[in-house]
Amino acid sequence: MKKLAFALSLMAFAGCMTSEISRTTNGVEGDGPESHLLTVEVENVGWYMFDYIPLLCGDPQGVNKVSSVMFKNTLTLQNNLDELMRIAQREGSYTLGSMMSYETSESVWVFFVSRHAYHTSATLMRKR
Amino acid sequence: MLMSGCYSIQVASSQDFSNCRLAAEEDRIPAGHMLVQNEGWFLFDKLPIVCGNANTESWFPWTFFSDEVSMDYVQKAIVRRAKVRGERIVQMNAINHNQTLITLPGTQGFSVPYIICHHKTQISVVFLKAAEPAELPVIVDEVADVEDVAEMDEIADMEEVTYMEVAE
Repeated sequence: MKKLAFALSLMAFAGCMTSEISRTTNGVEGDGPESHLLTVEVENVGWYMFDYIPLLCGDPQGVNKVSSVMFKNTLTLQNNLDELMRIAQREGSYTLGSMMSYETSESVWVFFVSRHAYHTSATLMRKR
Repeated sequence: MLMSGCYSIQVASSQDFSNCRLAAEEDRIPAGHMLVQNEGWFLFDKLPIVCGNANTESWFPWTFFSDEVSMDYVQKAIVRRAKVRGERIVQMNAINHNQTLITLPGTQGFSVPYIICHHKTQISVVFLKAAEPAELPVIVDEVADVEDVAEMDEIADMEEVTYMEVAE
């Protein structure tokens, strides 16, 4: 039971890189000669000590697999962009719209342990 | 240090990104995606205590009693890069996040709003590569015959003489 609790708590604290795709455009057309294909949001989460020392971060090689890497900072804009490009290639879309990135953070005991997340979102479009 | 602000710039680019096009920007190629953010601590939500230093050339990472979390300061790095490289800025998005309920140590979990506040400003943009200079018409010089070259030299000599005469 203790082992299970430890495993669950470790999972709860683990970093994770995820990508979420929305395909429900309901026939709403995009601006210009393109039409919406899907909306993508890539998120990478990491836990830090004193806001700087990475403890557990999402693994860019294991997106959507609750996979983490220890003591390595993978929360970079480059990793998010690479994942976005992988999805764009997979879906056959080479037109991007409304691209933006931002970071969210929250902390426990001021900065003793903090959780950071990098978000990158864009709409993927294709020619009508 | 634990309470300090931080100014950070992240730039991402890749070959795949350069192969993409942005909607309504068909003629330009994306050069990079940039996220700039700065954060700082404020007293009573208005008086800056310590912020990240937006002057990236300075060795000191913080500024005291100067509000460098404002949009103008955060945008500096973006505009600088665009100017230096001749790139265009598109899809600029800004997010301001203010945290006013901060639980200070020793207050037993009770937080009074607007005493110590944390401000954070983020701007993300996409850079488009500089436009290629318009192609100039290429003039193909035909290989001149030796006789033609001699004639041209003679004409040039005559013109020089004429100019000299006029000058005199």
